[in-house]
Amino acid sequence: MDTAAAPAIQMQGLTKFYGDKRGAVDVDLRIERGEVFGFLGPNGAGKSTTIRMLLDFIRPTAGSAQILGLDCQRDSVEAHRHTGFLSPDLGLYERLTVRALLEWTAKFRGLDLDRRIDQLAERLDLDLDRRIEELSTGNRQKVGLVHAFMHDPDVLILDEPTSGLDPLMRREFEAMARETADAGSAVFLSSHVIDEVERSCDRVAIIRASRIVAVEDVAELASRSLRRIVVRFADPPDPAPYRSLEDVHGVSVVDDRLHLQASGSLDAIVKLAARGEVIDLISEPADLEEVFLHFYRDDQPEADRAESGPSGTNDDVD
Amino acid sequence: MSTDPAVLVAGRGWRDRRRTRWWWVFGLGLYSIMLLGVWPTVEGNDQFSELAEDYPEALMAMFGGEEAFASITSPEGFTNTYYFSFMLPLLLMTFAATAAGSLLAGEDEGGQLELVLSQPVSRARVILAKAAVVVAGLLVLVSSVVIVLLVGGPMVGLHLGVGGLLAVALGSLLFGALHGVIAFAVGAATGRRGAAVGGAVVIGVAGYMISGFAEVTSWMEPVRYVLPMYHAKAADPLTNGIPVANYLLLFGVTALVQAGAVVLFKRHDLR
Repeated sequence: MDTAAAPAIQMQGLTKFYGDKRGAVDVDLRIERGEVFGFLGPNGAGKSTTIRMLLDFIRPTAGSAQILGLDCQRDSVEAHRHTGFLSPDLGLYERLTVRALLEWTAKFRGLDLDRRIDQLAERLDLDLDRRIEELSTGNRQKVGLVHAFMHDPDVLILDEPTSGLDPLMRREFEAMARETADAGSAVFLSSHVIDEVERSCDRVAIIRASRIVAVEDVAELASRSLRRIVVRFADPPDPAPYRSLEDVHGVSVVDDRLHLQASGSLDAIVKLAARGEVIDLISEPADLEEVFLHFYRDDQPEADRAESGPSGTNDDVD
Repeated sequence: MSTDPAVLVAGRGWRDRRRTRWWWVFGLGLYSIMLLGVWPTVEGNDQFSELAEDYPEALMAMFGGEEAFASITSPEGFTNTYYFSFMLPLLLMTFAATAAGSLLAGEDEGGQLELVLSQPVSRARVILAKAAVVVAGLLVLVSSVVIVLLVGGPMVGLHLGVGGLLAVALGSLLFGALHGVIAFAVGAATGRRGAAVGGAVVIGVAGYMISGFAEVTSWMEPVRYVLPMYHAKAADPLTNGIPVANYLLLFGVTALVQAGAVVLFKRHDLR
């Protein structure tokens, strides 16, 4: 297969069962070069399971996957040559310095990446001369990021790349992912934070209870984005008018506070609220589970819903 | 200019095990020097031969059999009893099992295996490189004992032939290597360090005990031919040189188990 023409990552019916527990079921995805592709789902939904199959760490029960047309299992060595990888499970050799570890991994690719390592370390504010065992969680994550990016791979597969990073470094990572995609590589990243995916990705696949429930442009996702609103009034408000608004759910009043969830524009809500005396207004993104309950619950096959219950993650392995 | 990934993996393992390896060399050296200090009081001392007559047969078998005991006052008998028929094989086995368990299953548990296997390197190369680290470690340990015996022995009047010493040392090394690859196989199948080390050590100790009983229990005699310990030492390599058939068998089984470990590792789901 011609690696130049093939999609960056392709999965067909990729499935993993652990005994009779579902890890991932029937995952079909196609990620193109030049895009940042988000893999969004709550913890335990099957994101890591899917990613670990791409890296050939675990073997699919059924289905197959290719990186640049190279079979993830049969041609794993060649596929890894073109891949940069990061995961929260990645173990580092504790006694080495950061520099020694990164230089050692660079040798597997026969590349001298010293300058590139210096550049990335500076960008992420990572001290290369510290020993791994002395590093905080955030700094370990930075080591993983440098390790993934340093050889400028055609395909980046990043499992929870921003976990442990402070907001400033998250922005820096988002910029790096965007630059990499703009340079023609593909970035496939998993997250359980909807805002993060909205900010950094072009397209997103949503996985829930081991199955892909939607693949959407991020713009579409944003239009469906659900916000949690709290308005504090001088006097206890009447919830009734809010309940009749379009795209407003879960309206309740506690003392002088009005709670509600809104998808779409907040204009009507704000105008309605402005009739009273508003003391404070909080608008924040609803968490992923709330979003799922609203938008994707009905996308699941009946049988699955019955067996996995409301949280949907009880019998899933990640 | 690129280095073969197998060399990178082996080099990493070799350095990671360095501290532990030095402790082993230190311990073995101490044991060797201590025993050399004992030798002058044993040499030609008839009391020891008389003592042997009172020993329970089964216990004697554990320490190399009646013959070895009777000849404990000879250089070969002494060396066999206190080094090569008991202590060294079991110590080398333990060393190999813990090293193999840590290098494969230990790194599976710790996640370092993910780091290594995300590089462009095949699983077969990784596990074979790690096996080479274990064998090289065994070589260092065995050599340190041989050197202490060759250099320190003559100082206290313990004279051993170089050929015989190398022959019996090779047997202990093969015995250790076999149990190292057993730990690789169990580790490759389970991904658990405890199971890998424990499994190999239990197999080694059980085999050793059974070989002791088989020496003294006539109906068990055929059993001993399937036990690694028998092939490592029964032909008295220290006196008679390399027992080619026995060693080839040990080597063959070791290679076979290692091949099995490669197959198991290729099919293994990382933890």
